[in-house]
Amino acid sequence: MINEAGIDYVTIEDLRTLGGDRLVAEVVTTYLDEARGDIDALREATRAADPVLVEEIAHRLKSASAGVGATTVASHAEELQFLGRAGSVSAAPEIVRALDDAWQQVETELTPLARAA
Amino acid sequence: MLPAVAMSERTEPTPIGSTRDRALVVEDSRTNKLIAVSMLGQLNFDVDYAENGVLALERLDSRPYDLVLMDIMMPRMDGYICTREIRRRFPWPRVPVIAVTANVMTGDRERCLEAGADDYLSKPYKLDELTAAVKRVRTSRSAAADPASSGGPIDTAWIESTEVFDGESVPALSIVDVFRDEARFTIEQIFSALVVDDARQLYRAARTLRSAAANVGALGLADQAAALERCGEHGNLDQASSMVDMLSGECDRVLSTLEYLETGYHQRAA
Repeated sequence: MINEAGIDYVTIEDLRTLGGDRLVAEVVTTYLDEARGDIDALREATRAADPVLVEEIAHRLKSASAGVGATTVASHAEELQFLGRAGSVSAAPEIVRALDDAWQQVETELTPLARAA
Repeated sequence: MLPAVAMSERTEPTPIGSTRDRALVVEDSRTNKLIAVSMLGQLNFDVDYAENGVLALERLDSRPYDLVLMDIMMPRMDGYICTREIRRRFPWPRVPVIAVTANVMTGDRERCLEAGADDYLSKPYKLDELTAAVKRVRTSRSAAADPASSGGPIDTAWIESTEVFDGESVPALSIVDVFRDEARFTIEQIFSALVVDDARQLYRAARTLRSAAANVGALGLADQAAALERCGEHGNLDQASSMVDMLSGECDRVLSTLEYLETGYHQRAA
């Protein structure tokens, strides 16, 4: 049940079972805000070539993205996390671009759910 | 190298009010925090939140918790260090810690358990997985003996004579909360006395615990505390070290029994 935007709707439905449309809206709103901030911060950390910060932010983004079923964003974040851990972020800008593309789709896809409350 | 975190001053005992259990979610992502809070709410927990390990220790210092859901990878102080610190600084009552990690790496589970966690979940987890983990960590604790049977940790004559669990009105401050707080404080003192070889501190803490135990009819615990008190008096710290695990185990039994009695009391009062 993963669609072309990389959203796993099983995860969204699990959230709906847990707390209805209201919880889905609340979680998605929080996620969109948190992930937006983390992606900006990742761009900064990549520019500053700071592997420790890249690993830390990428891990949080991965884990939050997995929580809402944003699988492609989660997997790009994981690639960045591993680069950060390895201590070399020279390949990071390319992954950040792929992450940006995946994020655009996720944002388009999830935004309507944030308004469902 | 552990960060130097000063023991803050002890806070007042938690006032009685809610009989719901309280969980602490330690998690740096706001999204995942929201999901965890909502799942724990379904399991009837009141939930507090800390976004890193340092804040988690502050929370745990300010009040008792019935459960900690600990994210392992966090900035500032990671979950391994934080769990170790919880075990070192708050030896009793032993709060159940469920470690949570988003990494699927072999050895994660072992590392979590080795740090002092009781169970382990990998993210993202579903409600039924969390429910099962909560059940597992609880059954290890809730093996309370029937308090009315002889040989239980609380003297039956005390239970019969006391009005505490039978009175008309809810006690202003739960005797269980008072006992939990005193036992927690004195056991921390006893453990730290053994670490720094301070016989005098051991003596004082054991004496306080003996009297707290006697106040709730926990005669076996009072005997054990009295034995520790003598160790402190005579400087037998090695002998004391061999006794503390049994003592904290007995404390668990006493607390579970008191909680059991108190629950019955609240049900009758309702």
